[in-house]
Order: sequence, then structure tokens, then C-alpha cells
Amino acid sequence: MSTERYVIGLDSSTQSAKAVVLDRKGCNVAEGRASIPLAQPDEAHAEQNPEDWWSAVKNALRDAVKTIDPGSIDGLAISNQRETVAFLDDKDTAVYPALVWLDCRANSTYQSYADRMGREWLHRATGKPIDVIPVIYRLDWLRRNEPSVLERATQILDVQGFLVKKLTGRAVTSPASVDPFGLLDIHEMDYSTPILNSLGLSQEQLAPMAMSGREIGRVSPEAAKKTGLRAGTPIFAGGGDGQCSGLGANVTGPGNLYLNLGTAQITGAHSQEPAIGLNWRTMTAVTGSGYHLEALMRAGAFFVDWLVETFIDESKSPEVYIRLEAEAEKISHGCGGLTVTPHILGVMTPHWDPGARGAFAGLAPFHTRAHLYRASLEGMTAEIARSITAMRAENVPTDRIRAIGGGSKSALWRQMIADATQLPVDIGTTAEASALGAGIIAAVGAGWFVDFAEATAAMSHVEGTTEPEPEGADAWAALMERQGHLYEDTKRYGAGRT
Amino acid sequence: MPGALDAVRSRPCENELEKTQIMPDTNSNSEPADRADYDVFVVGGGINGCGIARDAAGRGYSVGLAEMNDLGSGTSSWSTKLIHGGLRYLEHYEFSLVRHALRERETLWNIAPHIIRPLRFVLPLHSGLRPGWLIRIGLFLYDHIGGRKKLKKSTAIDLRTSPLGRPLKAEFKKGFEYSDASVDDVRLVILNARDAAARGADIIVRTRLTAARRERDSWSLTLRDEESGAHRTVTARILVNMAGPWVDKVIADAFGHNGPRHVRLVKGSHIVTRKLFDHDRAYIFQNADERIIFAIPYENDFTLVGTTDEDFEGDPSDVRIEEHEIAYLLDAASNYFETPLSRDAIVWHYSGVRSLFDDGADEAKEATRDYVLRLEGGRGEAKVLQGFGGKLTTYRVLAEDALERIGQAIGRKGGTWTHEPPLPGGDFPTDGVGRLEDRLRAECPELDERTVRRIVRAYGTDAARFMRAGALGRDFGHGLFEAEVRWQIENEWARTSEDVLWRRSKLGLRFTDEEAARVDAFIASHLDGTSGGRSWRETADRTLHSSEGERQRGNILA
Repeated sequence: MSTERYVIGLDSSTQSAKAVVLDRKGCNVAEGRASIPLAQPDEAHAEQNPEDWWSAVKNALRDAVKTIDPGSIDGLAISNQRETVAFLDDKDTAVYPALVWLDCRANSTYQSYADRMGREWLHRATGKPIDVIPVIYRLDWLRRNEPSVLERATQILDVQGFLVKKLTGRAVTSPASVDPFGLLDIHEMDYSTPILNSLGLSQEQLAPMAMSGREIGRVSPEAAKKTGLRAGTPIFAGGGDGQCSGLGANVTGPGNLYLNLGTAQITGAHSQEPAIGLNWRTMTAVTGSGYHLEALMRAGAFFVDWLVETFIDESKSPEVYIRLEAEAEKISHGCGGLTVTPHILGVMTPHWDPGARGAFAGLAPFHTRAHLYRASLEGMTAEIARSITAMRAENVPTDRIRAIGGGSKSALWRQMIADATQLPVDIGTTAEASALGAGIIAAVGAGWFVDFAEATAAMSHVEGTTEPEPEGADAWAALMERQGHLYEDTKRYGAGRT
Repeated sequence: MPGALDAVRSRPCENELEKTQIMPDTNSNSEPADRADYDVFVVGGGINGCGIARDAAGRGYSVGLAEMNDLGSGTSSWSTKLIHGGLRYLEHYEFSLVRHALRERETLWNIAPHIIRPLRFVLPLHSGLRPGWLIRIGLFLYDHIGGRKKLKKSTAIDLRTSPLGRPLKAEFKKGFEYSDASVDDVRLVILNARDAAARGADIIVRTRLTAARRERDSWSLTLRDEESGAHRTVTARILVNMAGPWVDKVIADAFGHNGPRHVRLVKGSHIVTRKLFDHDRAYIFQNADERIIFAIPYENDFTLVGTTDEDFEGDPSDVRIEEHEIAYLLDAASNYFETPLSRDAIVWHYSGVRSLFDDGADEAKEATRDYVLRLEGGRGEAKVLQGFGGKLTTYRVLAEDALERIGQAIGRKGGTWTHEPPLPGGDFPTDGVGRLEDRLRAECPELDERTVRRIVRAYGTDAARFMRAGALGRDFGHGLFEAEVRWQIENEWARTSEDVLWRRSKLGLRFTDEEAARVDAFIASHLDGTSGGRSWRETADRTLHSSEGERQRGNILA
């Protein structure tokens, strides 16, 4: 029997569950994954069956530990899709479909809920600018439209709470998983009484919380049989996937930023204080010693993929991207005045306008498809760089960026980001930052390391660094200024406006 | 007790009889239809009882309070003397308890800046015990969730280079420093009682509740003066049972039957040693059993080490430190201090029992410190409000909650008010202690420095009312003068040298038996003389029956 010890980072995301077995160096020694069905009967609804989360987790765990001695696993922590909520009765039966974060049935009601609570108060207490995504707005929608759901649901759980119940028999979650719901007063790090009251909820309907890294239970014999884990394996409180991926990208304290260039795009910074602003949403960090300020772009890689597929090449093959990247490199900065806003799914930071639309402005006969591509990257880069500037204005230290997600493979884009922010951009080695972050939490909980900083130093690695070119700074300042006006200038073309 | 069982039933005729025997309440602003002596009658003169009496009196209720011994003599005086959020409670996920407690630190500091002082705590990291990351999280929450304003935030310290590491073994290299506050626990009780009295409450000490009977919508309460043995009966619209460890006993004795057991008694013992270190910070040590032990600078020349934490079955009036507790505390501190602690360093020790609401927690250290208030009594019946648990830090919040329940039971009066008006002597800014000391030094130059500090930190601005140039009177030694003893007798219900030397001060640490006997003699002569005008005195005058009473002595000196 090998003496090597492992932890498992379990990432239960929107579309799949991934279980990654990690060693002390953060190397991925085994993994398993299974997909989770998502029902989207129409544009406004996105639902799942919580039992599907558990099925996927069981399958992913079984695959992950197939070649590993389960006795060598020191613990497991969960990273979960964030604004997704399950409604269960005493017998753990779902009384309503789980509402996934993509669900926007509350579009017509969330503004009035915010008005009722006091918009400024709600933003300050929860750290979340008024936006349809936090779960409180869907709970309010249920209260108005399906009130019996909130009465019958004796357990209203986030994904972590649900999975912990399945694994250990008792639902326990963490502030870092509950916070995205908007139910926490982030200054008090506890369920907000005014918000619970406004929704007619009692704290008994919600899972108790433990700080990430604390042991919250052990794998039950029953769950052991179903997952292949050893009964008694410790489960440590994890957190939301956004914060976990920040941890996986080495954001444990002031200075480091992470940039998730995925389908949706997140620019995250650590802040010691719960800074409140429209340039980010404020989210409890999994390290328990601070907050993440998250600037968000709803259409990140999604926008690039849409552009390529729609205007350039339907095949979306890797070669298309390689060719485009090469062509775009030759185009000079600013694309001859072509300016882009990528808000085809609406805009979050800093305008919080779900009806916003994207725009290409300043088109001229010399513009090619490569110009469209480059101008799009430039537009997104300008959005990212402006949010970092806003963070600096709040005295949030910004020393370097760790880029993760599919978009980080683009050398062109990385250089743009480095030049626009004048910060070095490191490239993370793992494609699974959320699972790595969860694994780091488990490693800290298991006592492998003295703290999160030591754990990330040992387990989270960099593949290379793109240094900023100082001479690019002025040109970027001008481009950011120009691109920054485009949202306001085209606002009137937003959805439902005349 | 068949007679007492009968007493549970309503016996209106006898009630009428007894009602004619009591003096009319001079302070009643209750409804005309209501003829009870008191709106609110509190049993138990500890911190929670006195806090409720003050709050209720300030809202305009007529209030009586009976304490069977001296104020604060039960649990309140045997604490670790901290106003703190309770870092360790975070481990049990008691965020809400900690948050309330953290908020209260600054609120209480503002209303009692004389008896409450900020205190910095040094927490050394101990390999193999709580990891640094967990402590960092706890301190982050500590700094953030409680609305900290004036208290300094936590910092990391290098114990290898800091003077704070010098008294410790070399193996302790890293640590943290954070803020909480220390309090003179008995004086907090006394000041609440004084303010309650100033707002019209009758504070009746050394008097026990012996029977309680429901008379439809009010209570008929029989009280026995423990000194004279005299009985009397008063009526009240609501009974508030804040007897701490005796809360179940009060009900059993007064109703003559045992109700369900609610309290879990947890014993805590402290030792006081000769000063173990020279700086003004306190240490918080983690012990291998996951508990924590404090070592706190105490009364200038001493260090307070505690506490233990163990379930207690037995008479809460007779609680003593046991050998294994002494050994436990010596061991726990010796694990950290460079110079191991030996038994002969101990100059005093004390033990008390906390009464926690029995929530079925497995181990004493996990039983909830949050309080539980229960309003009992059927429709149309007089209600009893019972309090369980709680801690010094949350007494004011507990009182506000209690007043909410009292309002439900007998009708609301006034709103919350105790968060701002200072306690007696506390009407000065939190940074004003130095100025008061200067003033006292100028007024009474004969006082030594330790006494100046002691007096100002006990009485605040009230010190100027009795510490007058040329009028200090007899010198009992160790900085205790007649003027102070008189003040305690006339304003603070002191009746014995123990009240003076071990509760309203800790001068007992310095007094010999003979010196203490002189204080007793003085008090006796003073009480026989022309006191009067005090509420407890008036109370004694209401005596109906009298018999030989037995004085209850505390259990301080082992």
C-alpha cells in the first residue's frame, strides 16, 4: 500500500460533477466526472433535479477512487455552482425543482423586491448590487407565485449543503456557499434576519454554516458504499465555485488577482474589508479572512465563440482560432477605430443592466474578420482593466493577475491584459481551478499545511508569465476611455427599449 | 410539602388578608385597577437580575428585587472578569452569540468606562493545536462582524522578538494579538443595582423568596429577611426568576414542587498567583483538551489564571476548587510560561457555578452560553419569566429581551434605553480615566498610586463625591479609608467586611484577618447608628414577623 496521502476536490458545477484526487503538490493523480442534466424549457427557466447532482457526484467519486486506495484520502471538500437552490421536505424529497443560477423567472419582480427592502440597504448588507441572479429574488418570486413551496420546503439548501447531507447524513454548509444567495449579511457573516423575515423564512429551514476548512461531518457507511470512499472520510466545509477557483488561482490575500476567462468572465481581487460598489459584487472568501471583489462579464468566452461561429467559421475548430490569432496579431492596436462592447447577454459590472446589448461601432471598409476578432478582445480587455482600476481606487492592492479558463490560452489576449493593466499575467497550470481550490481547502482542513497561503504555494502552480510592456500603457488608456463610452452611447438600443 | 402544594392553588381569601398587611407601593404608576405592589419583581441580584431591574425601572415599571445574599455573590463575582466576544464560541458556530457580544463590548465600555477597560490578548500559536489559519479566521471575524469602532484590531506578532514573547517558552514563535475588555464584575452588578434604585426600584438584599402564589393575574410573594428572619408578603404582576444556579430551586421552593430541570450547572475555578509577567497584556492559552485558559494581569501585583469547566452536581452555595482543578490550571499555564508555575505561587483561588440552559450538549465546554428566556403561565394567569444561561457581556441585551417579554405579559412601557445613559460614575469619555486620576491625586495627595487607580476604576466620577480632601476618615490600611466604606454601606448595600473587601473591591487579597475584623467592627457600629434612608433599610422596616436569622457567609476562602 502506498504511503502517499491524498485529498479530493469535488466540483459540482452547472453541467457536471468533477472529482479530482490531488497529492500534496497539487498534482491531479486521478479524476472522475459525470454530467448533470439541465432543463431549460424556455428562456426564463433553468431547473435541475437535486438527485441528479448526487448521481453525478456518486459516479464521479467512484471513477476517481477506482485506482486509489480510499484509505489514503484524508478528506474532501466541495466547490459548488453558486446561485442554485434545492427545496426539500423532511424526508429529503424535492418539493419543487432546484432553481439553477441561470434561471431568471424573477426578472419581472426583482426590482420591486429590492425597492421594498431598500436598494442601498440590500446592496450594502449582502454586498450584491441589485441583479436578478442572487437566490433571494427567486425566493421572493416563489413567495408571490408559489407560496406553498416555501412552506413545504423544510430544507432550503445550496448545492454544498445538499451534497453534504447525502455524504454525511447532516446538511451543513459554509458562508462561502450561502453568500451568493444574498441571504447573508456579509458584515455579520450570518443569515440576515431582515431578509429572512421579508421572505417568511426561518433559520431552521436553512443549513447551519461552518467556516470553510472546518470538518463538518464524515462519510456515512451508506454513502461510502455508493461513492467508493471509505466510511469516516472527513468532509471539510468548502464554498462557491467562484471563490474556490480564486483560491485555486492563488488568491489568498491582498495583491493577487484572478481572471477567469471562461464562458462568463470573472475578475477577482482579495479585499480585507467588505468594500461595496457597483464595479463588483462582494463575496465572502473561502479563506474566511476577507472578501473577493468580483467584476463580472456575463458573455466572456461565450461572446468570442458566438462571434467566431456566427461571422467567421461555423466549425469553431482550433485551427480557426490559431489562424485568427495570427491575423489579429498583425493588426495594430485600436483596430483603426473599431470599438466593441460584448454585452450580448446584458451587462453586470459596472452598469447592472440585464437588457443591455452588444455593439460594434466605427466599422470601415478596411475592417476584416480579424479586426472583428481583435476588437472584441480589446473591448473585453478594456472592461477587465477598468474594473481593476476601480478596485485600485478603493485601495485594493493589485500586484499580479493569475489567468485561468479557456481564454487564458490566447497569448494575444494575455498580452493585451498585461499592457492594459500594466500588471504581470501568470498562467495557471490547471484547467480545473475550482476543483483545485476545493482540494486546497481539504488539504488545509486535513492539517497538511499551516494556512491557505502555504497550501496554495504548494499546490497551485504557474506555467508562464506575460510581462506588461510599459510603452503600451498610454495607448490602452486612450482605448479604454473610448470603449468606455460605447455602453452609454448605445444604451438606447437595449432590449425592450424604443 | 403538602402545605406548599396547596399554595399553588388560588386562595383569594387568604390573599385579601395578606394584601392588607403590606405597605402601599409609593412608586406605582400602574393601571388604577391594578393594586400590586410591584409591576415587576425580580428574584436574584446577580448581573442579569440587576440589569433587568435597571432597564425595567428606567422604562417606568415599579420594580422590586430580592437577593438572598449580597449582590453579585452567586455567579457574577466568580467570573474571568471579561467583556468579550468569546473567540472560542466561534468554534461552535455560535456566530450570532459572538456578534452580539462583540457589539456589546463597545456599548458597555461607553456606559461604564471606569470599570471596563480594553485589554489586549496575546494568543501564541501552538503546533499540534488549533492551526494558524483557523485562528486567523476567528480573529478576522472578531475584527469584522461586531461593528468594532474604538477597539484596536488584531495583529500578528513575532514572539521571538517581541517582549510579549519573553515570559513564554522559546518554542512559541508566532502569535496574534487582539482586543477584548476586562470588567470589574461585581461592580457592574452594583452599578446596575444603584441605577435601578435611583430610578425607583427597591433593591432588597439578604432576603429570600420562600413562597410564590398566583392570585389570578398577580403574584403573592413571601419574602424572608435572612438576617432577622422576618417574613413579609408583596404582590407583583410578573415574577422574574434570575436566580442563576438557583433558578430551578427558587421555583421548587416557592411553588413547593419540582418543575422540569432546566439548568445545567458548570463549575469554573480560577487561581490567582503572584504576578507572572510585567506587561499589561493578557495571554490566552490553548490547551490540549481544546479548551482555553486565560492569564490576566490582576489587581496590580497578581495574575489571574482560569478557568476550569466541569459539570457540577451539588449545592451551588458550596462550591470549592478541587485539587485536580488546581493541577489542571498550573499545568495549562506551565505549558506556556518559561518558568513553570508551582502551587506556592497561588495566593488565592475561587470557584463559581455558571448556570447554562441544558441543551443536551455532550461536554461542559460545548453547552451553549447564549441565554434562554422562558415566559410561563396560562391565559389570564400571572406570568413568570425565567432566565437561563447568559454571560456578563450580554447582560444588557438579555435585559432588553426580558423587557420585551415582560411587556408582552403585563403591557408595554417605554422602549429600549440602556445602550446610552452611563452607569453611575461612568459619565465621562472612554479616554478620560487619566483626567479623573489627576483630579483625585490633586484632591487627596496622601493616596498612593495604586489606590488612586483603584478608586477611579471602581467609582469613576462618583469618587469625587466621597474622596474629599481631609475627609477620608479612618485608615483601614492598603488604601481603604472610612469614606469609601461609608459610601459602600450607604449607597451600595455593603453589610460585611466580605462585601467590602472581596466583592466591592479585592482588597481582601492584601488584608489580614485582624485588619478585616476592624472593617467588620466599623460596619457594625455604623449600621447600629444613624443610617436610614436607604432602600434596604426601608425594606427592613417593613418587617412583619421576626425570628432569629442566620447570616449566610460566602465561600471565598478555602
